[in-house]
Amino acid sequence: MDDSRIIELFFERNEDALKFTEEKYSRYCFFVANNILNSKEDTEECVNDMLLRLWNSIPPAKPHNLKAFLGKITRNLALDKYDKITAQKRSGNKDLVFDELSECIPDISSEINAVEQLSLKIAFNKFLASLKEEKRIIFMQRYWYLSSVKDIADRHGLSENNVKITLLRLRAKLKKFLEKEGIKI
Amino acid sequence: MKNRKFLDLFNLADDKYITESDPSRPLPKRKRFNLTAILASVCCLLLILNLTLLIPLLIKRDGGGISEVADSTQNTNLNYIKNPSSVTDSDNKNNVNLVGNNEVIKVLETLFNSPTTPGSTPGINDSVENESNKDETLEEAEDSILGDLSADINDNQVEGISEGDIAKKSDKFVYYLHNYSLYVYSINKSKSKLECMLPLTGYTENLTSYFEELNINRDKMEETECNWEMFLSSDYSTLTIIIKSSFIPLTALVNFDVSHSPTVELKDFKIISGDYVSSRVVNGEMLLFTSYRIYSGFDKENPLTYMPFFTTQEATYLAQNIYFPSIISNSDYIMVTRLDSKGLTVKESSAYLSYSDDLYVSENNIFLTRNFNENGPKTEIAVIGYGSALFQNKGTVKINGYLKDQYSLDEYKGILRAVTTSYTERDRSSASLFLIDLNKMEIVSSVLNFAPEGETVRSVRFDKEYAYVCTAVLLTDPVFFFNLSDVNNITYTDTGNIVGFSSSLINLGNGYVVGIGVGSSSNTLKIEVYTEENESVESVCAFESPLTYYPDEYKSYYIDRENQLIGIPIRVYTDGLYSNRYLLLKFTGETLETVLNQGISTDSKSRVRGFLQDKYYYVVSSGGIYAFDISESIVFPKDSTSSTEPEDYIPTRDPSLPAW
Repeated sequence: MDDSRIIELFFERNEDALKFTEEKYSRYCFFVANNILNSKEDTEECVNDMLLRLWNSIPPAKPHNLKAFLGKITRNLALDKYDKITAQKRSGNKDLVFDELSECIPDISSEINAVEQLSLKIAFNKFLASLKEEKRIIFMQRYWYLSSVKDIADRHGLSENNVKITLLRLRAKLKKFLEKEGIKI
Repeated sequence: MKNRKFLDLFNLADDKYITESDPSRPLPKRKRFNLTAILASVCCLLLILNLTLLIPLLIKRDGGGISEVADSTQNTNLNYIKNPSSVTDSDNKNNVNLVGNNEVIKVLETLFNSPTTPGSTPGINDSVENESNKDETLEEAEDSILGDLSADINDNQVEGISEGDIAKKSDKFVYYLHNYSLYVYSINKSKSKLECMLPLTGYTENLTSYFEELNINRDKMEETECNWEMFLSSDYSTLTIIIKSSFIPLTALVNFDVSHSPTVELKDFKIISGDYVSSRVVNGEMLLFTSYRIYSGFDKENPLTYMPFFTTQEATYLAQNIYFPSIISNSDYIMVTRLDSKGLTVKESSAYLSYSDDLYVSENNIFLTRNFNENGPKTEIAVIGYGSALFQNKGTVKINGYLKDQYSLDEYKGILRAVTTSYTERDRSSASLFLIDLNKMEIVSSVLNFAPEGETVRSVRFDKEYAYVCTAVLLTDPVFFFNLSDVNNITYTDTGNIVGFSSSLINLGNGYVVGIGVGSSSNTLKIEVYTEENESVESVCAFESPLTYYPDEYKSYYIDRENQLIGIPIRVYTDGLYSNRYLLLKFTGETLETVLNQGISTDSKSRVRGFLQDKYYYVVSSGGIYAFDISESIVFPKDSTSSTEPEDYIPTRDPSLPAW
């Protein structure tokens, strides 16, 4: 079933929408959440919560890209859950990602308003658009999907060291780019 | 906070970049991948040619719709492996062949010896190749029957048919599979403890080597959770562990002598192609189900890349018979292998292409299913008799809709009953019941689309002449009760809409059925007991626990019909924290009373098992074994709100785990 039909079902408040969404995207959402939580059980709960959140979001939301929409919900839920879990202990892939980010990018000084958020979004996407496709994919797979360096290296046929160096350069490039755009984060 | 905000920054990425970088998508084209694409296309073409050109020549159609390819492989590209018409131990000796024999044996020997590295595997006998030792253990095994029901902790679907599980128990020990290791715990009330831990990772490593030696190249598969299972023989002397490799489609069966538990000694092993799916033991014979997917990049010169097979210590054999449906809906084989109880001799092996969905095993037949689309979702059920010496293909039948799980099928007095989620003419979901005469392979009666539109089947339970079916939209359900005693006059009634739905319905005996599912919200556990009264189904009582998650794994539920006990591991969210607990309820006939509600340590609630023995209730998990004296609770139910730790609470657990 195509995504537009699934979204129509949500608008009709037909609960088959959840079933079709689950059938089509649960594996994808599981992957997104599991990369963050690193626990099958927490991930399953996160994916269940995602379906409920989705049911409550559409309508009013009418996503143009359902997969990315689901991915964002799942990722945010997983990050929230992760924060709760790490109130007790630190573990998993995300900690390593944090460590990498803190190397290169300065701290956020304060809450940003909607205009600043928009500027940030435009600049960030401009930065992504400026990258070569393969590098952009590596960058997003690491920091959006939170895939491990090893997985990325395997997937792209590169050495882990090669991936690490690419990421290091991209982080530095992002920092420089944002500063150049006048965005202090 | 700082880092979280930076991760949130990536939420600002355009959808196209998120979709573009989805790791499951193919990589962007690079020069070296163009060649790969060409090769893949050629292989795809070869596969299509094989399927379209060869299959029509090989297929012998039968009335039931299953077509058989038997003893024809010599005429094809498969001719360098002889396909045995019947495989027994003696036949094996006459048919020793063929595939890189020396290499295979070399790898098998490595596999055979793998867990015997001194110091790494306590409890394993180093001298497994000592013939006198081996003969002795085999002789001892002759009187034992594999898969004794008293060893089962899980609640089997069919009486007399044992299902593999991660935990089995004897009168003195409980065996538990966790983290690629076998744990042996003594069952001794408050003195219960871990006696032995045996790492089994050597097997998966050697399966990988074996796969490579067979020259089967495949990209690394996604790692899956350890879903190994096992059986224990009736005299508690032989433990058969079914080991699935994480990365490659091979399954190893390994027999251990546990007659001197907690000492565990390796006896024998067998390798079957395919990922482990399920297993049953009936009358001492094991039925093993593995799945094997053909990929477009298979090696035409190597049948092992596109044909299911099994191997003994002498040779490697293709499956004896391969069956195709008239229209192939996917490239997954389900391989059904029958093994005897005195070791691991393959008695018979058949593969079924495309029948890769739910499977159910009754006292007489194996039912394999496949979903396909033909003016809406349909299910084809292939029926294979296993009562005689050889598998007997009885034919196929097609029904509307799709099955929820194995519990949606049931054979009773020559009639197969099936409940599906079906679709109405308006393309809205509903539920249907079908009765199929297995002698004629015909639908003899049905109740079509009995559920309100928009509902889907959430759980089914057949109990002789009756059936309970729970359907739901999101968080409301009716439970239907069917009287199937007269095939020509099926009657049914329902509870009407009630809050929540049951994802499992389990017969509790004495005319009661317990539903395990969710209540007023998706994170509220609800356990409800139903009964049939005057041709109507009534809710007797319910237990609810908010912010509580429960496992879907039905094998983690403990059902004691004699004592009317229901055990289930749960995960509870309180004060911002999740905690794992074990809940044991007793049904008094009118209410569900809490016998236990105890904190436990586990890394997965679906891998917790509980059982009653000598008035003690034992819980075994990745965190260890727990023993609770519930003798008073069974006779005199405790205060349902009690959740204090009893004095004999046993903190025996894996020390590598974090604190509770």
